[in-house]
Amino acid sequence: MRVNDQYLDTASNKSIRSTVQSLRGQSAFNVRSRAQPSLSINLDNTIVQTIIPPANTLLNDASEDYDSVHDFPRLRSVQSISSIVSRRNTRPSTTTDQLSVNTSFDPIIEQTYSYDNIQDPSTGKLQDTAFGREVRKNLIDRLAQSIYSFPTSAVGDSHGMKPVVSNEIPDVFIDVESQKSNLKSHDKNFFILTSAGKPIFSMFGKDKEIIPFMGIINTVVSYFQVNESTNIRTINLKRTKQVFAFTVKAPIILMAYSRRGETTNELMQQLDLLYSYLISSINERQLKRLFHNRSNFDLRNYLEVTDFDNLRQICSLLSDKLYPDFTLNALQCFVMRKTERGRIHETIHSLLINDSKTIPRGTLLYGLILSHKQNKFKLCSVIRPKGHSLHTIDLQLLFCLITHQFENRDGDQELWLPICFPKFNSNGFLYSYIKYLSRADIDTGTEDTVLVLISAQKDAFYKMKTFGSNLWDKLQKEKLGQYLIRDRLKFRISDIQAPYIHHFIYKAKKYVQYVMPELEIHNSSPQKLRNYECKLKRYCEHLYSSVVDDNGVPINKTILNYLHWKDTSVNDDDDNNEQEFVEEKIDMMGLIWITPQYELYLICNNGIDNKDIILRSAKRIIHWCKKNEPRLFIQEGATF
Amino acid sequence: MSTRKKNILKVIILGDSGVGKTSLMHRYVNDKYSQQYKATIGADFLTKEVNIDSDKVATMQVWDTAGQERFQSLGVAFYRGADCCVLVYDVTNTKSFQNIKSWRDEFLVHANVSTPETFPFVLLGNKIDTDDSKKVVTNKAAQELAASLGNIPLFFTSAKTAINVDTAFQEIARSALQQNQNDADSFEDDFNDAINIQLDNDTNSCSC
Repeated sequence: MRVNDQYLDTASNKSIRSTVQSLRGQSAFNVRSRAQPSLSINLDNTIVQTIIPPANTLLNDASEDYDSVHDFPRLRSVQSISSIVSRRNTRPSTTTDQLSVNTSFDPIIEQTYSYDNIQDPSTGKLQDTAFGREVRKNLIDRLAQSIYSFPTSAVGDSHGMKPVVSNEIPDVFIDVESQKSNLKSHDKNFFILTSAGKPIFSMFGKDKEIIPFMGIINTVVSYFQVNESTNIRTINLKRTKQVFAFTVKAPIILMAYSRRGETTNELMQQLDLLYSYLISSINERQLKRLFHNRSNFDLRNYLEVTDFDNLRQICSLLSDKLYPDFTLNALQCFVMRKTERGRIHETIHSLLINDSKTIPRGTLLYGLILSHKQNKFKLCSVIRPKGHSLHTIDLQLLFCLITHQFENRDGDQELWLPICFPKFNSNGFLYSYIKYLSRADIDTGTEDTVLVLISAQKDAFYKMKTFGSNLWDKLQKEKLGQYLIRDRLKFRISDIQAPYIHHFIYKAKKYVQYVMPELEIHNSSPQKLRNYECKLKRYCEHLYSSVVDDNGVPINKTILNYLHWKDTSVNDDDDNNEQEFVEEKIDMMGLIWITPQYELYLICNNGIDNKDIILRSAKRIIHWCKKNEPRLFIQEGATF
Repeated sequence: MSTRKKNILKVIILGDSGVGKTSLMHRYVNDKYSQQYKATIGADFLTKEVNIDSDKVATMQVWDTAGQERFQSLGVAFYRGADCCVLVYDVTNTKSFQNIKSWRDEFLVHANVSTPETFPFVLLGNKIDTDDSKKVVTNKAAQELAASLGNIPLFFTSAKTAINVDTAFQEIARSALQQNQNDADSFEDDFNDAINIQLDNDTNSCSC
């Protein structure tokens, strides 16, 4: 297997830049509307100006910023190497074409594997051709250093510590602009406004800045409604990688802005979540009623302070945290032994059957036991009617509410909370009984564990309360409670025999659940943690966006794709002569593997570029996840 | 509640091209005036905090629209959800005065306001600083028009010399806030939206 890398040299870089410069002054829009999936309009400067003067300044500025945006100080050119595996053997040329449109970093399609080749990567071929034994040994030595870069890990077990994986993978997503501090400086922002152009919420920006901006957004949206009778979906400035995604749900307009290389579809999915949050708080019927005949309604003053806090939190989870729940549309599950989980579900089930006095059939709609740590919720247990379940978005909204409601409160509090689950029924409220079964305590080693019981009956609080306490009593009596409140089986990347892998996320599609190893952070200052999470998140997003088409749909049912981020700024060495320390070279590989059963996102350690090694590790992870499926995922839950 | 956000008042300025809509707005928001005439294209947006009757604070979102005919297709979008509409004419331009009524009608047709009879309009006769010889619209005619449009407030202003601009916008803010609150009061909360759920029926839920 020959590695056939091609690097963009500076000469071609220059030629790209000069084309861009010659094109300057024209703003090429790629405007897509819902009705017409791909309506491309080239608006030249004058037209843009006539419609929306202030927006034009924004766009112009953006195109002037082109050079600075692209002149990553550390990352000159990034390239990806892709391999596509297709069981169906669709014509590779078409798929690769699609792929090259979608990756922002012009992927070079290297090889199309047949499935058999993939199944067995470690066979002879490898050793005798491209990688001689010597080369291979050197490589592995070098890579082995990169895995244990935390000081104590070099000595391994002698300090009673397991080797840990360094969190010091390079960040290839540095944005020069974001070091400034005005509205434009943020590389990502969300705006919510009414159809009258009155602001409701924005992630960043002071009132004075955003109020006129909301007017512009409203004008752009209206322009397409009036002149094209359609809703604008996106404005895509390909050269500056700026994407404006719109969602119009009268009387609400939402817009997301991103310079992070996210696709329109990802942004629209995020907007859907923000809209769903609004609905969970006021419900759609209520919203329509509020704006009926009063399009000047100021929703900002109708929402509670909590709502803004929650919206802000969702935005931050969407943009700065490694929170795959949203991006993967899946939930993380609390690791527990199969028998333990089984016995817990049996206990709950038998109580539900036998305790029909306290809780008549139909009172309880849905129940959850959750483990809560660092603003992340993991599912321990699900109580649900046969054949029914709640949408992950609905549950995520519930999680946001719980996080906020229980902040700075003691554990004995019980909540009875009306909440609209927009994906279940956007026109009405359900009622949630929420109680902490245990609170996090380092001394006793317990975690925050939450019980949630959902009912459609407004007055079912006492029934729920009684059932909840009976349930917890019984679980404790059977000595099952301890399994829920202690996170004993959490695992780290080093627990899996998958060398050179920095981090992974594995989603089991069947259960709509995912697993990932605990993040290992040595220096846990909030800022560092945030940067680290953001970095991982963007690697994963980048991997995902490399295998989806313009509508965000994976280009094939089965895809295996490698991405390679590489620093080629070798020629800059002249400037660095004075520096004593040489920065670690960026040479990052990632892998995404999508099949009908699972999705795997892999981020390797810096310096690993051997695809066979990566693939072998990927398979080991998949094998490990499959083997441990009953531990890692809730397969059935307590159904009634 | 102390954390409550300020009310946003959406104010639309309408009138023929060249009557001084943008100048009025700039005089009010930035206290500046420019001799140079630049036609507004589409719309301009400006924001100003206002104190109303010295006890209420609101944020005024001024939508300064283009007077030229060719931008009128966007009117619908601009007018929607306004709290107050300002009609401006030029005292030296008869046509701009005659067009006031059609601007008002145009607004009411598109704005979809809850109560057209009581929706607040404010009438401004601008460029009052010019020589009397050039003035062609009499104060009397203006007062009659204001009365016929439902006794709407009338101000003679000059963006150039800042005559009456603040007073006029104070009145605009007051009317807007009044309108905003009238609308808010006419609504009663009703959170009785519980869902009736039969577990045995199929619901539109997804697997998780």
